[in-house]
Amino acid sequence: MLQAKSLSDLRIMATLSPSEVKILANVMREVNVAPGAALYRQGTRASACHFVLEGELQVYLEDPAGRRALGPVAKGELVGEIALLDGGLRSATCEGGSEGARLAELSKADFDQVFAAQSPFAFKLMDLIADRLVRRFRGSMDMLVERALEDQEPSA
Amino acid sequence: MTELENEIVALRRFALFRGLSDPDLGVVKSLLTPFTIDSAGGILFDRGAESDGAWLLRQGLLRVEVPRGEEQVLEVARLGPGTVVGEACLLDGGPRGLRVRALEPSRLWRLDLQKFRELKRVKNPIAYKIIRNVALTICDRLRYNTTLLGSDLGEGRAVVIAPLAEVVRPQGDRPSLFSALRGLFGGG
Repeated sequence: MLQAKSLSDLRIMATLSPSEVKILANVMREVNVAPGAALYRQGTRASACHFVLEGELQVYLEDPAGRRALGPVAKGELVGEIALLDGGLRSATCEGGSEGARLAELSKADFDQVFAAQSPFAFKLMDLIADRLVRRFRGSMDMLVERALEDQEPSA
Repeated sequence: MTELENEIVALRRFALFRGLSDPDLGVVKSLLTPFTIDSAGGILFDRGAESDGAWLLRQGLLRVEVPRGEEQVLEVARLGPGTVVGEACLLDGGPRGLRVRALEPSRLWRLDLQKFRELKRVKNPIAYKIIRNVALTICDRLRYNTTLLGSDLGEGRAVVIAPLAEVVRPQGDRPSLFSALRGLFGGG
């Protein structure tokens, strides 16, 4: 269980009442990740998302040629949120940054519960997830269309 | 059955409304506007156009396409009854990413973006159930896109480019970007 004070510093909690933050603190749990240690690995089953309370995470894309850094996840930010939707496979590896990180973990099961209870937090988090998702989706579609058209032979 | 009951049964075909109760679907019905495309070839919306809602195909056949020049298209997918298209706008109100054209006379419902936004503004749980369903669909497509962008698209050059009236399908078994793009939409 988390201290409510730890969560109240997160921007997404800003408009929640103290009692709502307390309820969330009761369902979320604290996770500490050492520098370079894996929070999760690409290709493993996803079951939770994480808010960074302190420190930093690093995200990497793994392929047979090696790993590519996708960038840091800083204090106050959210990572792995797609897990709350479909519990699919992780699309990247996430590790503790140079100082490690202290995280607040929200499981998919707990998110499903707060969503079903129509918690304002669940709706705000859904807005945040949807916004990030659709931006990534539109970006990927633009890239695919661009590449599809580049891939054409000149028309006869 | 009453007309409303029939329409609620029809709405249950759409994945967009997974998890909604009959009373919820009654509310959804008030957000829908019927729309008919009378002849093959009519454009439902074009790439880059301002979005006015999500389209639910009740009857007919649609083609998702990428325009190339004045007279050619890349066919991405064909969509049949029970399909939703253009639903990403419910999340961000952004413009249309691709063009959609009717290949047959078609009957649709438009889930009005402004009415949906009002439902969301008042934090109606129905709006958030729909948002979650849209997000799930987009999540699947994004995973697919990510895989595709990480692969060697150069191996899949068999992409359809043809005059509008005559779409030629790629030959052979080789994985193609065409089939990959079709996969994004689950088109048959």
